[in-house]
Amino acid sequence: MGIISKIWTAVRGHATEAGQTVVDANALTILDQEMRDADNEIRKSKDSLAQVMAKRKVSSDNLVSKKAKLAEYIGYVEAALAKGDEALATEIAGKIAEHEAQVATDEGLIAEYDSSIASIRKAITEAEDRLKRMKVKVDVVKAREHVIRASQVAASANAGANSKVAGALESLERLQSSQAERQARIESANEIAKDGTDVGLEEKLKAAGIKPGGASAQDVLARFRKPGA
Amino acid sequence: MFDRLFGKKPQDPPASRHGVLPSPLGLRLGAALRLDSILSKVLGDGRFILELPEPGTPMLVAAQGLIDLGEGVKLHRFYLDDDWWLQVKVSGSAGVEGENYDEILLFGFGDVVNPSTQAQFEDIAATIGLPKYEYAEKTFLRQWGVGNAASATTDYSERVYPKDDGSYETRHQDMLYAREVTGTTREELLLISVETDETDSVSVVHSVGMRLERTDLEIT
Repeated sequence: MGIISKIWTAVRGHATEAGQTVVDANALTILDQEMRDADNEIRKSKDSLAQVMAKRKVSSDNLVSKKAKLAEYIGYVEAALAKGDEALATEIAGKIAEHEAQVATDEGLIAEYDSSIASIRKAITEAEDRLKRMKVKVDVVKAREHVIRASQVAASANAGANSKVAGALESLERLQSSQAERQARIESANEIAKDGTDVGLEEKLKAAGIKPGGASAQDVLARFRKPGA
Repeated sequence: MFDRLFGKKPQDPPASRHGVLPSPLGLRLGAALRLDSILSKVLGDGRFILELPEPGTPMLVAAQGLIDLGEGVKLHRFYLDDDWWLQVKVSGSAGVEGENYDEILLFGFGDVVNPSTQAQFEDIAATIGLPKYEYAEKTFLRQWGVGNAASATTDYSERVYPKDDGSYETRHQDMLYAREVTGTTREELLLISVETDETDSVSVVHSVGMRLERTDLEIT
């Protein structure tokens, strides 16, 4: 089947199976259409077979009729000879010869019909078997397709959940960062506040070892022990 | 000209008076039939009440009758000139090229009785359906029904289509008889039909005939 034909088949397929996504559905749609086409072809073959069988029946009926007439003519030719009617006997004998030839022809024709019927029947059976196997395969493919779609839905839901967790973690980090920043600001503000008070000064003197009372007895002692103190 | 311009299709040739009628074995209004000349020569010697046509003489179909017996069985009758008529029995469709048939019978019209009184009609009717029937000094045996009592007739309607006239309906009440004929395997048939036409006129029609093989007939 050519590309154009495939496309056409797909278009026709969509006429009976709408609403599927184009890419995913094409393969199965084409297969379904091809199977319907195959079904139609098999039906046509069966119709043709019925026609051939009907013709065979007509030929067979005619053969029976001709054989019956042959037997009848033989009776008449014998009667004509018995009566001494040579002319009639000769005419009937001519008819007998004619009918014998026709019977032989018809017997050959019927044998040909029988051969054709057997061959068409075989072809139909084979085509039906192929179609059955194809239908089984398509059913399997369709079942798999459903499983794949279900898995895709599950995977998609899972991905959504992961995304949400990641988002929460980021928020947590942002919160932590914000908290640290706010703490730093508080500390900074405290520093500034201390700078403007005696507490700040005393602490500075104390840190420089100047604030009296702030140092230990050992500090003072050490100070006096310094050379030149 | 205008029809062509506006796409109107040219008209088909005028249909026959009765439209399309079935044509089993190629038989039809106006067809010519020839009976196997041997049959006329051998059986036309007085053994049969039925008079066969002269060898080679064509018989033309002047009217066609259709009878539906139900269950797919149909009788096609072809009325020929010179008082012969042919009946083709077909089961189901006419089949391949109209060649499918069950039986072919050739009849010739015999006596036709038009009873003038009810009593006369009852006298005739009383004999129809009995096991034996005397006709033209020959004894025929009943083919439909068994036993010594009278058998019921087969009743049906026939629509007749004359070649050169309008169609009409006839009701039949029929019984078939047959007798053996010496020197031949063919029986002679006797069909007795009580016919009632559309004006309720009743007649008793006798037809004598024989079964034909397909090869007995040449149809053109």
